[in-house]
Amino acid sequence: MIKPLRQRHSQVWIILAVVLPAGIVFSWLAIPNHVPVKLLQPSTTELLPVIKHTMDKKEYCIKVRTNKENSEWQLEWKNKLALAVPSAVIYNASPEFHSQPSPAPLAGSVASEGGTSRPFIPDHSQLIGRIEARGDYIFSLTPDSSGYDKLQLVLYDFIHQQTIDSINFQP
Amino acid sequence: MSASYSAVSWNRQKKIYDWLIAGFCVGYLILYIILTLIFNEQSTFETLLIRSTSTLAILLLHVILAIGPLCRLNKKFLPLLYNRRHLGVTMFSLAAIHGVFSILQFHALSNTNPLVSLFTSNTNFNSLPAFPFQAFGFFALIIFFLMAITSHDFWLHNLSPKVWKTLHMLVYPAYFLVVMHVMLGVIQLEKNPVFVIMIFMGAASLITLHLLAAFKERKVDSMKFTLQQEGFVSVCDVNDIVDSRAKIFCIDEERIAVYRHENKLFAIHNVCKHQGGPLGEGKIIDGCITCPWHGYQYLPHNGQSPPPFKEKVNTYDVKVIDKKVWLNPKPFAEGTERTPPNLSAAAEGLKHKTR
Repeated sequence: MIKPLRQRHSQVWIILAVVLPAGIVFSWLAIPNHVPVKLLQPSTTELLPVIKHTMDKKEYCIKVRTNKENSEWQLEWKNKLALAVPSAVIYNASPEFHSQPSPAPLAGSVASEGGTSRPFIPDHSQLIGRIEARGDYIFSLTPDSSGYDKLQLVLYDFIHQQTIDSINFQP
Repeated sequence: MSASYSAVSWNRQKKIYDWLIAGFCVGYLILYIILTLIFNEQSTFETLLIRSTSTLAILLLHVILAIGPLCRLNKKFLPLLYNRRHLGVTMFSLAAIHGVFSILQFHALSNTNPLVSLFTSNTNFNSLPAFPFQAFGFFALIIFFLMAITSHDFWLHNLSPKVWKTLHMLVYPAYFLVVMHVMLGVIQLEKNPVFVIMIFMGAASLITLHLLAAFKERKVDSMKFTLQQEGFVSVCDVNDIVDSRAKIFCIDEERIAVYRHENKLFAIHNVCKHQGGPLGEGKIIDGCITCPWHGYQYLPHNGQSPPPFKEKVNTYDVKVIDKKVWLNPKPFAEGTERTPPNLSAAAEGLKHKTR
């Protein structure tokens, strides 16, 4: 190598010696403390026999399933059409899972009793699973004392941080 | 060399080198896939492909960036340098597989064009954890692509060494982009510090190696020669130069290689015409000074590549007085023949070193 090229190499690495560790450390410190959204695979594969709720929409068909003893619960989500976003996350936004109100909600709102709406906060809702392409998805639901008489689901686009749809099951 | 271009000139060493690269890559990918399937049975084919190729590409990128300084610090690593470009093209191919499948996986399911979606689906420029990290990877891949398609000597000669070298030095910003692509991407979804430590150790190793090599080179550049006589400077004792090898001296900001061969001394410019390799770190093979980087050859007495090749380097006058080597740093035109001093008389009583 000629001298100017050697000098250019060493200058570049002196700069990298500063910016690389700084970039790594700042990125590491920026890792959020809350549990991040991950690609969730279906946790169960066999459908439970009893259907508690059904909702059939143009884009998807949703069923809340349980067994005869009401000890296990499933959310069956059939995506009929491709999503308009790369992927989306399903949250249980029922009030009992949405108990920590925040002064600064991230995005969207969900219907509340009495026709009013309350802010939807992903971090304070129960994450059920993630859907992407067309297909059938089955997610486990934690047993609910009320037997899921009421269930409020939110389909959330976490990239654009906006609510795609809100689905309410009433008794 | 440059007499004619052929797509690829294979020789035994290149074949061994490429088989080793292929064997390592296939072994790594198989091991990664087996281990992932053992510890995470639910991994999909796309996820396995995206992750295995990306981790292998990053590993190879670290190896590629380490080869240069390792060779400057220790000549034993020179065989790695010989076909470094093949390693670079392999790394690009793996990164391209990762990039294409990632775009298909994450951006091809909506109505938006995947490439448009890549840049518009995430606009959180003011948030570090949610930063659109995929753009970093995309721009790094563009740089690797340009480097891969211009890695042949055809482009080195047609773009000119200066433009070609500048283009290929973009690998350094590309490395920064790759590190940030990883740190702001997959690392943001991980709680395990092992990945951060691995990336940090990789970057720290490369920074250390490059700065150590630069420090070593600076010591050569700052050589002082006090004894001067009629344009010549006294550089060393004749015994300091091993037969068929050279010593490098930096005088007036130019590096000159003084070779000893068949009891004669020859001085030529230290920079190879091919890619700027250090000729003084090579050796004489078949009577020719051979560059340690890619094997370009020059005749020691005139600095010309043997016919039909056309490369030429500057030559210098060198003489021996009382076992001391004296070098004139004023260069002669490239390819000028010089008469080398014969050490036979002066060599009496000298103890020849062996390689």
